[in-house]
Amino acid sequence: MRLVFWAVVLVAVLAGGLLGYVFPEQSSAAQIWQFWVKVPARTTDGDTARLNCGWHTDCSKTDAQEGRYGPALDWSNHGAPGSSSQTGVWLRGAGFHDVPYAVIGSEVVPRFAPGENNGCYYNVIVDWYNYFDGSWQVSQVHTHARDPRSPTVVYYGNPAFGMRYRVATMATTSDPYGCPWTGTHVHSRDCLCSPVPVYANTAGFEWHSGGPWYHNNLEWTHYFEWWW
Amino acid sequence: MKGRGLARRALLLMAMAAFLLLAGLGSFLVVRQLFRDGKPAEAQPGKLPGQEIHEAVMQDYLKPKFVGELNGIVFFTDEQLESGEFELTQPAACTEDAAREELTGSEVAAAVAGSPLDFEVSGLPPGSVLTFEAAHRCDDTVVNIIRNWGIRGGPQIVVVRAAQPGEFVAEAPRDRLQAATIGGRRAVIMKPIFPGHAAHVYMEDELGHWYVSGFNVDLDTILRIAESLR
Repeated sequence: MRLVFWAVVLVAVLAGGLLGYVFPEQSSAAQIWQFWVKVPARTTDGDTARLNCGWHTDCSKTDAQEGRYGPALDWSNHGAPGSSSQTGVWLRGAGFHDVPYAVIGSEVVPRFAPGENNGCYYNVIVDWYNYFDGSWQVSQVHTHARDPRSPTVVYYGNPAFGMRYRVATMATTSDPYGCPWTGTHVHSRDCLCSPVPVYANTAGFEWHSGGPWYHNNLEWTHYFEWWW
Repeated sequence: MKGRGLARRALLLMAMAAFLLLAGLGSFLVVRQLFRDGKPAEAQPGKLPGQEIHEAVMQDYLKPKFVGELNGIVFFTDEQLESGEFELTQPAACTEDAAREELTGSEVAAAVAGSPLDFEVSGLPPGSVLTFEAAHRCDDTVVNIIRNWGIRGGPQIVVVRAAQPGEFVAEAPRDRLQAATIGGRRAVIMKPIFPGHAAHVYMEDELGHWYVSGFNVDLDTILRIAESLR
């Protein structure tokens, strides 16, 4: 009787193992990592920021007004009285991961990048790396910006993590290479070189109705989003 | 008495069934984890790669940037430039009255044809395509040419040639800078913080400066590209 029992146990173990082999666990690459980057808000970190242009390639050509669509947003921190000294370029958004209560992350590294992706000297690129395997995920370009700040870790969770980090400073003088500059602002876009595509959205997303990432302004309906 | 025996037997059977279930489930969970994505799982090192990147970049960030002259190349700070303490030497053609113009895309080739600044490159990573091109003019004189090559999700290369001396924003501490001669030109190499991180070559010749930058590519490739520029 005992022998039969242990034989059945062995069969159960083998059957479980076989099922485990046939249906292996999926790696995190197959899970959802989702990040939304939104225009900065709040006075001390850009609450008064305004979009100067809708999605565009070249704001001076009024792409948005003429119905053309581009990968970039222009924004400035000069949107309200008393905020004209704000020149911070902020990474502000939220990270979502589909596994409840699991927290994962990306390493975010700002760097000075003259002439990369555009004809401007004042140019800061923020590179995102998978915190687990170190692989490059996404790069976001901030043109008319200088002074890249320290690296930081960006978290994803379920529910989503909201965050803001200063990544650079807006240039306050004309560009040394001579690219057109119309005053202190930043032109932000995906590099179009990232391993994963970055989506440019105009429908507002409101995953949270409170906290520093919340915005109730109509100008606050443009955001970048990526998945991996 | 008989009822109690039956109950005990039922309990025993239930325990055996539970044991069987646990054994099967345990085996299933262990094996599916071992073969996640169809491959045996690798042992995780003590530090995650992202953590290593963070520590390396942070350590570099906290060091003072090299400011001054190295091998004839000048490094200045943003603050010096913004405050006027350092003035960037402008191209001779960019006088106060000159009209500055940016050209991009298809406008560039015709504008730079015949300019002494126009250049050729070889040694790009296989599969690289020209992803961006710009030039700036002061009146009719081309004062710089900027070209990018890349592969989506792969190496990204930037080359800038400008009719200005070798003056650049200080980006790195002294221990990441190395004086060199590349293609007969005075140069400074800015080494990457970690493999794939951006690395630069700053160079100067009789026409002005060159700036070569590579991201997600090894330093040898960047040096080979810098060497090939004509």
